[in-house]
Amino acid sequence: MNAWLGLARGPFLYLAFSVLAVGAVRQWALAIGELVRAHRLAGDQKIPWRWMFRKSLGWIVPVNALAGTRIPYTVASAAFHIGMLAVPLFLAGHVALIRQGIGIAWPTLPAGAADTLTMAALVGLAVLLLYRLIDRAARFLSGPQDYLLLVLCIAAFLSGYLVAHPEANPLPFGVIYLAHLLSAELILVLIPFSKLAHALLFASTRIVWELGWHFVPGGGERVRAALGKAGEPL
Amino acid sequence: MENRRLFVFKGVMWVLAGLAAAVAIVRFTLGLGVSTALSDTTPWGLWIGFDVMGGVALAAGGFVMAAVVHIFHRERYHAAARPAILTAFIGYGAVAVGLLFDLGLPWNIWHATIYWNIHSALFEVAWCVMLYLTVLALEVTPTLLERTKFQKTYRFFVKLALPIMILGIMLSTLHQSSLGTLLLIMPFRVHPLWYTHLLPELFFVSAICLGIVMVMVESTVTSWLYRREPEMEMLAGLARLASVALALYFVLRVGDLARQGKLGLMFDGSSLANLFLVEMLLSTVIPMVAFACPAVRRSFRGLWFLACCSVLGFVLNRINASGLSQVWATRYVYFPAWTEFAISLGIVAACVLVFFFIQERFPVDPHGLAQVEAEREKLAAAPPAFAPFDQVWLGEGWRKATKVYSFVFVLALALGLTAAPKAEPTLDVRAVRAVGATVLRVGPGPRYVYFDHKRHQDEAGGAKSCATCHHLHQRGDMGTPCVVCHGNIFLPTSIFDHEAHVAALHGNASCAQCHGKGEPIRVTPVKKCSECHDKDLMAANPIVKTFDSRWAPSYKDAMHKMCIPCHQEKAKDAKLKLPNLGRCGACHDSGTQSEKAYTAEFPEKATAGGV
Repeated sequence: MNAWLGLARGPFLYLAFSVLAVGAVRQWALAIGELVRAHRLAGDQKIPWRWMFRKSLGWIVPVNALAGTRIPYTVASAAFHIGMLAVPLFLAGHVALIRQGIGIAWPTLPAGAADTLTMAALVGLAVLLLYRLIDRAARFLSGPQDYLLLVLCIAAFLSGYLVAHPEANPLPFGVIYLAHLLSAELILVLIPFSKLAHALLFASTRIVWELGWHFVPGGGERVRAALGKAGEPL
Repeated sequence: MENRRLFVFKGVMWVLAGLAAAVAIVRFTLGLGVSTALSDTTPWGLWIGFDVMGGVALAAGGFVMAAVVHIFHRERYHAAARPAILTAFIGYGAVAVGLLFDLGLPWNIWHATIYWNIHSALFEVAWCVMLYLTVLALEVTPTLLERTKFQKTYRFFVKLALPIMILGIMLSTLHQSSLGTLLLIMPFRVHPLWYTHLLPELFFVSAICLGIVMVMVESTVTSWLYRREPEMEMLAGLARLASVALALYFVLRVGDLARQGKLGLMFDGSSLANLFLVEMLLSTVIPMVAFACPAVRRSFRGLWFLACCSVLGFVLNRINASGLSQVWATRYVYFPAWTEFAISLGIVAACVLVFFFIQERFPVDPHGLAQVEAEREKLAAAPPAFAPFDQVWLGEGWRKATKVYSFVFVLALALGLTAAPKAEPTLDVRAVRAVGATVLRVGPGPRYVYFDHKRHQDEAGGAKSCATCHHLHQRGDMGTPCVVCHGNIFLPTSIFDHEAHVAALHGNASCAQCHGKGEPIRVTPVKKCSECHDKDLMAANPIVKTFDSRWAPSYKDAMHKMCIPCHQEKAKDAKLKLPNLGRCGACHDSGTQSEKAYTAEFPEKATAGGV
């Protein structure tokens, strides 16, 4: 156990942060390439920049989407995302570890607030998972990755809560601590290489989407060719 | 369908480049000591042997082919001239980069241009390599300009080509041989089988041989990767040429050994003699004999294999001459760290990638370029496909390449960063740890001294003095060396054994005993050691101060805070007559330039005590 904890706290943690750092640089470099390409493909240069940026930024605010049709889903998603951003970054224990390691620190959440946010995120994650399992359309669109990432996030939050509340923890402390470290490190490693990449790319994907909806000249023909229906009318 | 063979090969090159990039970060931030196995005894390692000595020789194809085609007008080798010159250009660039890695102060690399030491062989090498790199750049320029709109400039460089090439051949002759000259100053260090007054001549002739076989390797590998028809006629001609050059080298080298009466040394069975035999067989004897057979010259695989074998042998020769052959004199076995291999391979990989990049865009080999361009057009016109694993299409051609290669590159980079050595911790070397009650181990080696416990006890003040040495009361503690708490010279270290406390206090339920009930488990809201271990830890003695910490200070801080105040105090004591006791130099190297500068600046501190 101690050997594993040593690995998880040393080399694995280092690897996770290195992968995240260099992977993020790669994703951003590729994103800039895609932005340039989308701009070029847009063809007509009358792009409503201001409207486009406002619309892209608007997607960050969950309230905007509350007016939509899937209100429970939106609330669950917002609860999870707020917890996911606030708790790992501003938990007092994490900040203390970071100060120990590299000597910088920042303000932290009060313990009660961290617990509340963790609970909210866990409930949100459960709702999101149930939604994927129950809703027909969502189930049809989901691949293994979608379920695995949700389970991974649940594991990280749950084990994190138990690490912070050892009196509520039925398992040996080391086991749950190791589970927390490994699940969190796996999340960090997966951020640049899976659907979690939206954490890095949410801005640029929206902008590319707004820019690039203009099709490539002759794009329709190529889609038909790919579907094996060349020459047929649309 | 694109060329999968080439795609995978380039992917492997990107992985190697990624690893090298990680090591490069470590090397330039933490220095040579951390990132290599080099030492003061063996300051020249793999990087000098392979990257610099080998690199210069591997790039010799440029001047050899320039001479064959443009001076001796052997037109059938014309197709090989441009790739060879391009390889030479990239190769010399790589030598410069490799040198930057090996130089302790890489930012001083320009010094040879200003600070002239005309007695140094390295001075000559430095100037020749710089000039030749410039010449090679001028030689490569027409290739890059040929298909652009700058036709006037292109014609200017074409006219310039012949004199430039003559200059290039001259410079190559000079520095290929002076790399051998470099070793002439070490007659007692280089093994007799390699040391001879003919080292410069041997280096020059072997560079010609290596140049020819390297062109063969390049041509065969390129035609295999790009699935092109190999140019067998040219390869066969080169093989015949190589056979003659290798024979010349063989006669020169063995004849020189015979002249010095060293032939017997070859077969004395020592490891270096065997290394010499392997080197000669690989580089010279086997290829020389095989290339003379017409049947081998008709076989594509045979030519490829033998050329590779010879290249390997000659690279081994450079590594031997500049490194391995000196082991018998230094008695110090150096084996490169993996980081050194990573840099060497990574530089080669980067060179290969640059070569491919230029070859696929500029008319290095016009026929091959036409083929590449035709394939590229075919790909652009192909309908989009769905990727097999996630149904997300990566794109084709450069878009797919960018995504896949950057993926493998960053993965290798991250792995390399994780595996690369970190700042070196202070080991037990700095401490003297007792291994028994009466025997002390001294340092890391098998050296022991008798330890008289009773005498120490008496001299330190009897029964009350135990804590002077045994101040931590750890289990099995035979006196606590500094290193137990202050393990790393730079970093704060933990002396607190958490697992032992958890076990002693019976598991999870006990967390609250130290961390407080209802509080999340953190480092900060926790009991101080002294709250439970007041009597155990803290001793009334002049050395061990009462410290309030769950975290030991770094070695440096501990020593400074522990020793300096008392030293400064004693320095003021006129009776002791030790006015310098409080200065840095009392413990550190005394009389250094920096200390002189410091005492000149702050004369009052020079007597009162250091920082």
